Amino acid sequence: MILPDLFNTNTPDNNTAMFGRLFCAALAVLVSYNFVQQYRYFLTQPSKLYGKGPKLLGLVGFPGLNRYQFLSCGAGFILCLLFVVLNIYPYAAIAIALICYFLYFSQINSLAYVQRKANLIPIVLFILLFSPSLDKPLHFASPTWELTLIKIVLIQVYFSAGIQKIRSSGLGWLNGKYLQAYLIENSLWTDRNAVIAIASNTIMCAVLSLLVLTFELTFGVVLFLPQLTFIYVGFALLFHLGTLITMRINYLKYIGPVYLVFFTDLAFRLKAIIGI
Amino acid sequence: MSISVILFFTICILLLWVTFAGKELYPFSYYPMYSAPHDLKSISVFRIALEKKDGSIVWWQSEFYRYPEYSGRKLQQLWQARENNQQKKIFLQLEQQRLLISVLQIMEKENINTGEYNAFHIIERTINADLQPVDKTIEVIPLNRLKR
Repeated sequence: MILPDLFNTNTPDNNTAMFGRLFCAALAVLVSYNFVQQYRYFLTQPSKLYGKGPKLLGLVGFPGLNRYQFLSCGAGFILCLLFVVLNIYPYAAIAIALICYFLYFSQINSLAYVQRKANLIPIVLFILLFSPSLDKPLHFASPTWELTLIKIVLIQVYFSAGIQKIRSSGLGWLNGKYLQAYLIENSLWTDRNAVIAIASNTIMCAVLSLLVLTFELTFGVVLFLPQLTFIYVGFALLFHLGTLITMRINYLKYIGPVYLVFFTDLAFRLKAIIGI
Repeated sequence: MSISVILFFTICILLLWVTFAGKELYPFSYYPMYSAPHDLKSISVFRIALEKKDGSIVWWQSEFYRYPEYSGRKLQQLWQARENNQQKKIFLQLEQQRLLISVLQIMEKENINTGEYNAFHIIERTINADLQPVDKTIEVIPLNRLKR
């Protein structure tokens, strides 16, 4: 892939519109599914313990909401996502969804499966807001850069996590002892004996450390070698399932919809088979 | 230059900047979790347990597991600060009391009947050579002292 090609080439189908609809549909389902629990969390007034939420780009803080405002923002967010799915004023819907996102999620940012894990949602929505093919019919061609940028945003999560490991610990992170210590520390909170069993095997910890770091630093190759995409996506799924089971780190919930960026071709094929 | 090119490069530059400068620029993040060196020998966590009326002890569990972890980490920091700075002991004790009052309020908002319990136990958990947890009670704080 050569950089100028990104802006001059098109995909045969409107992959961006397909992704936009799949992403917004998946997100609407997930936020609806978690709505009650997130409301319960909001009612515990987490800001009293954690302090105020993050500032947009480190500059703009978000106001605290009362329960009615919180519920309205959440409902407004879901409604706007459904408008995008149905291709009804999609740009206006995404713009309003972005505002609702920041107001709603800033109140519950300290929630374990939201903090950092939902950060890609506004970035992806922002890219879609400026994607010229979002409101075009699905059989129209779309420029390559739109989905490439979304893939880059997703890849950065892993690449940066890998870089931070090298920066903080050097290649020492590969010896397995750091991962072992993190797993054991986590087990002191969860009392999961299976985690201790995994962590007590230093060789397994070293192998896992190597696999994780290699995956994180090389995920970007899928941009240049798309035939490796499903190997990496499969590993990512296993990686997130592993961290969820052993350390209760749930990235799958809100990063999952972004992974649909790799499944637009499959969606078109399914669409053709079903005959929609 | 078209808007798409500007958008593309602006986002790429922001992503590169947070990654290599190690800065948090919400919603852009550098994802530093679990990257620092960690040592088995230094593992120690503080957990909050509750003493029931019959004298038995149970861990404080919340639907939102970060609450017990965050409170435990805060308590640990306060204890370490107390050991290092005797002059600020009273101030740090008050800070601990404020934190435990917040814990009590969270429990009540989660519909836990706090009347069933007598006291908070602050417990330090470490591991032994066989990687099994070792618990040591650091302090017992009667709930009526916090409810006053």
